[in-house]
Amino acid sequence: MIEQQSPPTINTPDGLPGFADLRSWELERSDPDAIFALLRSVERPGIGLLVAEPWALAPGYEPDLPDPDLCALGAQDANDVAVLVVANFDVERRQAWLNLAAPIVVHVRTGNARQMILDRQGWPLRHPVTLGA
Amino acid sequence: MLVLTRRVGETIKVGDDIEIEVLEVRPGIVRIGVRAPKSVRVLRSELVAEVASANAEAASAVDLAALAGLRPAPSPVVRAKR
Repeated sequence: MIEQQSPPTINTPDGLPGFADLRSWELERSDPDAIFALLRSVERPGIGLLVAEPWALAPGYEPDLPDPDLCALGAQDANDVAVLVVANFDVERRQAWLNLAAPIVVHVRTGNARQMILDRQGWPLRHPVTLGA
Repeated sequence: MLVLTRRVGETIKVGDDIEIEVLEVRPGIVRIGVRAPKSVRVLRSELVAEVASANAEAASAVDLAALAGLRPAPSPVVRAKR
């Protein structure tokens, strides 16, 4: 689980698409079992992205992380990284959408992260998930 | 911006180890081949723009308190459309 392995601060040395100037984020969880966490910008605390570990929410998700991105992250293999996906959430409809096309991949030892764009792998930009209570 | 004219089968070198080849030209469409080291990311620009706008959308209005205690309902297995 990410809250045990990665530092509370996540760094994006190359920014994130749409937030090119933001380099430092904190991963806030309302409780240890919460399925969503808030990736809040340290530089602009008003900006936050909901993120989730995709495995339970999207069974069958098998992202092929591109070599250039893993290289840039300094990751040797899948054991070095944790995968998060950006979520949109509609509380009233208990509906979430996961961006499976561009996971945020965190190096578990350095805390550095990149959003990796998975071209031609067919994973949807908005994968719908219905949430139970 | 450097502007070059190329015929089908002709190439352009970018730096020492990136080569771009014009594979096919049809009205309104050009097919291009890119040979680059594995360490170089090659992406269609509009894909990056799509992810940027999806991020911006996701960043608007987030209420973490409302999310506490939610659990995933059983959801169908996703498969990539390849």
